Amino acid sequence: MREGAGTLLRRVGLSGVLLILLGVTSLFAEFLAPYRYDAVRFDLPYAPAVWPEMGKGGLVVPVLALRDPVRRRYVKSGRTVPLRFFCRGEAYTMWGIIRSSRHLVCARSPGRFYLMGGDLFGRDLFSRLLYGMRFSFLLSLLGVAISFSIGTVVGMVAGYAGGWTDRILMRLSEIVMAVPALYLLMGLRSIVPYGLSSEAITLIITGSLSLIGWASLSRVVRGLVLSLSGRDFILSAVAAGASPARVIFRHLLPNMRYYLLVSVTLSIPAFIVGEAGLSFLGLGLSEPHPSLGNILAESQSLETMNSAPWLLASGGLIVLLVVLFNRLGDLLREVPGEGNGSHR
Amino acid sequence: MIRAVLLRLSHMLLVLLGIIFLSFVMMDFAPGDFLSQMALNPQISPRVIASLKEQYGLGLPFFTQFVHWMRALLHGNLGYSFSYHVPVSDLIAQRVPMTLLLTLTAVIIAWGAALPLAVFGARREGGLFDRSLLSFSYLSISVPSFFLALLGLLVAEKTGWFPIGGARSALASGAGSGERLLDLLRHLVLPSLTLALGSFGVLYRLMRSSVLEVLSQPFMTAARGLGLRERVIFWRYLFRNAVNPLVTLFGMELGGLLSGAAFTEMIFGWPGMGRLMLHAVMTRDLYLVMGGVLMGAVLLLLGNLLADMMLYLLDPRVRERA
Repeated sequence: MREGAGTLLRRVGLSGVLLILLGVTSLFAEFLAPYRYDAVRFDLPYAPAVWPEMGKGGLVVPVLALRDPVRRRYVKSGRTVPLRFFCRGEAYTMWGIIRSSRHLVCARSPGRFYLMGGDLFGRDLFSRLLYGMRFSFLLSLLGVAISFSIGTVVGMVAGYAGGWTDRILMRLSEIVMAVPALYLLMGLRSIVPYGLSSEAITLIITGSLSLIGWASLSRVVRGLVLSLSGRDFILSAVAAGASPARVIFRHLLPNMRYYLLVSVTLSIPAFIVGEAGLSFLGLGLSEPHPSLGNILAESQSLETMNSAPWLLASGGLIVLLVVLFNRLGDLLREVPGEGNGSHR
Repeated sequence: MIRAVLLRLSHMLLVLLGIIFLSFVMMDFAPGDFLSQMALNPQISPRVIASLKEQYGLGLPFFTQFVHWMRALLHGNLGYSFSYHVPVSDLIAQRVPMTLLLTLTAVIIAWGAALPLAVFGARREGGLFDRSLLSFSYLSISVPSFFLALLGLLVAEKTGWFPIGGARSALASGAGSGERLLDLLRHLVLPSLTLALGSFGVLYRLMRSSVLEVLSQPFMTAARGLGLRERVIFWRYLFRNAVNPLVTLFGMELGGLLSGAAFTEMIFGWPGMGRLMLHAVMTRDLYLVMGGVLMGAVLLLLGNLLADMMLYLLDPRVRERA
């Protein structure tokens, strides 16, 4: 058991372990977040972080009082509420199946536990970041799955069939790559009507990002197929009368799988940043649903940056995720004996 | 050379035709057309709408419309912007110079800083200087441009050294042209710096590994062994070989000149193409959006062509093959 964990750490490194931790954390956002992402407190705009203190009878959360409503200065009112663990708070339905109202921590109103501060509507930033991070993870995994399936199939077909099929498919990928990605995203977004549900918007963003992502991947796969096709073991398989399906699934794919894994990892940041960028511009997920992009968009104005600099943390979280995925990709590429063969 | 360029050009035309078709299909998919917005306006009579519909050929079948659209494009007509009430081509022509000013400055800063630093860093591989710049590059690659621009805005606000956003301040009407230029340059500093910081990372890493590879080549040892002067070794052997892989990247940068600064423009309020595009998308100004997409694509293709040509001129090996 211990050996297994050690191997995992050696294979995916610290960045991989951290990513798994973040992913699991965000999966349980409903339980771990003290509040729902849309739980407002209009009396506490841009509340600063309030951390628990030791009081009598255990940990307590100080109750904030708005001293200066114009400059949004807060003081501790002197009252406290107890901080409780595994307590009953707002009801939720986790993953659409588990109904519960248990939270890891809660503080009863009028107190409120702001681990990282709050936004204009007094919503808890920490909770919103958890939900936003989950959205980023799910969207990028879904997007990668789509663009990868398309890219691999197109690349395989182009590389294996050659001739006109190859030419047409590759021109098609060039067309996609010749349009600046952000402009293409904006163009796609502008033909979709406004006022759609958040689920529909999610699908549209994911679809548009995948529509862009498959092109470069298909070229990579095609190159791999072409370079592998000349190798002896492929030639002998073909000479032995293996069907194209058998050659592809038994010989080509297994030999490319490691390289594909590396490209998957390295292409995830594009999805995270792409979604965040669209939501930042107000073209992606819209309020009250949190995404790392639209949380960052709240801190666009200088006033907000001054009175609530903690909202910039969502940008920091984006950077963290991107760095971790990039590190993981580099690490996988450097694993000795695999992936760093002739094609890098 | 000429044959190669012509081949590339024909190739490009094919791709361009595909893009035009794609953007036309996208517009056709969009619900309604710009007249359906006009139709909601009670001041415009249905008769006007009908005549406009005929004038723009909106009732015609898909392929006839496409032919009309192509014919208009050949005359440089990108359509009419219905949020600005001027032709799209005029709008784009207005904004392009400002974007180019911003992005060209950024390219000069980024390349001017990254190339010498990368050569310097690679010569002392693994040193403190090299390692710190390498981690800085990692960060530069990972920070999304919109976040970097926000941080730049914060710097401007905290220090007060630079104007916040926009491209001009409200000068007294008597200000001379020299003063105006200075004002523009002051506004240019922060957006161009944030843009340059964003592209520094890729440049540094690529140039560094390229220099390292050239340094390990036998011909470098041979040049040293022949007792050539350090300057000759550097310029004729090291630099010329090492900069080769970057030429392709330079072409890509040229291609991204129009579209690469979109986020930075939006956040700094720089009146360029990126902001125009955002406004167009927000107001559903469809022809303007598609005009922008087309322009961006054309520039990207031209950049790639230029890179190929430069590679051809610089590298005798490529010339041999062509």
